[in-house]
Amino acid sequence: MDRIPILRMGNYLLVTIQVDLYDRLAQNLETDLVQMVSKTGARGVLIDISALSIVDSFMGRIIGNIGSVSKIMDAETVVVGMQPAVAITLIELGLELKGVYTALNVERGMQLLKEKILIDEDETEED
Amino acid sequence: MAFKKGHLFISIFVSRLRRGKDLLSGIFWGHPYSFTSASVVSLTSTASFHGTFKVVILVIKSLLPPAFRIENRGEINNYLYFYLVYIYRVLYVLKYPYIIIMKFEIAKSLQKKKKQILEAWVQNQLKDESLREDLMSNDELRKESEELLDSLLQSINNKNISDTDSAEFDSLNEIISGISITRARQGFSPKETGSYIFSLREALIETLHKDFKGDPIELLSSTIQIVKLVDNLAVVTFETFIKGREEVILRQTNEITEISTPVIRVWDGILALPIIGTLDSSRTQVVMENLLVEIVESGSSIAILDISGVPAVDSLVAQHLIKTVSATRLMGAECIISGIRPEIAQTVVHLGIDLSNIVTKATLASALRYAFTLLKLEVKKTTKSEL
Repeated sequence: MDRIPILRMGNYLLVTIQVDLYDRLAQNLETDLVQMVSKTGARGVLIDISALSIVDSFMGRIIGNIGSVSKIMDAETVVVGMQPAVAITLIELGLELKGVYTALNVERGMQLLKEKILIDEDETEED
Repeated sequence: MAFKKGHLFISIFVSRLRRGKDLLSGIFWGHPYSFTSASVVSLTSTASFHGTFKVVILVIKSLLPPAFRIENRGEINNYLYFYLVYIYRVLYVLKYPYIIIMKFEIAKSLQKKKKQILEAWVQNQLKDESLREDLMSNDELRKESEELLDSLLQSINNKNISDTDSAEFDSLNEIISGISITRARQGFSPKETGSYIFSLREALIETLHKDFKGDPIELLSSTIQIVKLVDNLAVVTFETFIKGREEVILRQTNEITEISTPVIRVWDGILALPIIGTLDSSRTQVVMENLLVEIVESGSSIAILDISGVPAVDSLVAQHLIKTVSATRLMGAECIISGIRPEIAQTVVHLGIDLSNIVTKATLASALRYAFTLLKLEVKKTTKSEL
């Protein structure tokens, strides 16, 4: 069965979606990613969807779910490289992906993740 | 046509003959004095056929059994009657020759008088107060009129004179459409375009008038035909005139939509999008698309939507704005709304629209300042000594 590779890079997990996402694949990605977060204790997840050109409400929900689940597992999620058409579609579907951070490209996404995790660490240190 | 009529006559004749009935009632259905001019003409058109007709009857008769022939002894009287009626009709036609002209030559008589009609038409147009010499020279007008008249006279014949939908009128309709579309673009008013076609009607009727002086009834019927014809042409004119206008409006609308949504790069990483005019859903779509595409292309992380040019904000417009902001956020950029005028702020609050999770600023300047803070940029005033 097809699986989307999840790469580990230090404290972060990288997921680049380069094929058309179908429902089963997306669901598998969600479970794999959560298990990976718990196994590695990653602090940040970066999902690159720049190759994704078609999205539906289910896919939008899965992306939102990944964000909220990771949040519970104490990892921040950043979705990067969303296509304009995908963004418009999600908005028209009423999915604003509120729990998920977004960035324009992978570079900005990593920067954002580092900032967020730094802030978190600062806060814990202050406590 | 005459030939077919002759055939019909023969078939009636023969069937009557076989049944041994009165020949006359099979051919004629009225007293000669009550004949309308139309039936006179239909008979005259078959007149040349009567010779052949008679021979055919004789052949059929010789084939019939002798007993049958004796039964039809009164036949010869019927022939006599037939020819009397025929002679009467020929005399009638000789007295009022325009009956033939009316039925067979209305198109031809107009065609012959083309120059006269054209002259009258152009004169009519020149007399008209609404003539636009600034838009079209008289020579051009004459040329255009001649082309149209040529096509009209070529297209009409007696059958299609009241039916402009027929295929013969295709080229004429095309010419008329072309003329009215160009007129719409040149800025002629509907009245001017209408009077152009209607002045043709006057010219046509005036010309016919001279042919029909002797018979007001025929003049009336032919006038009605001409009026109908020109009215149909006028309908085509108006339809295409309005179509031409609509095309102009559509083109302008598209142009306005395109030029009214410019995306400006005000700083490295900062885009500004001044919105001028009412925001409807189709325009929001264009604005949103332009903005998002520009964000990807320029890699900007902040977009400023300036709505100081939006005349009013209702719940729908606010909805569109919120959508645009959310879409920008999904792309990974921050969106600031600026240029909210006091009355718009009031309306938004009265409508109960929640803009609390959107950054709003009063002016473009303050939005830019906020953007600089986000990007950790600083604008500093330098003293001369530092330069």
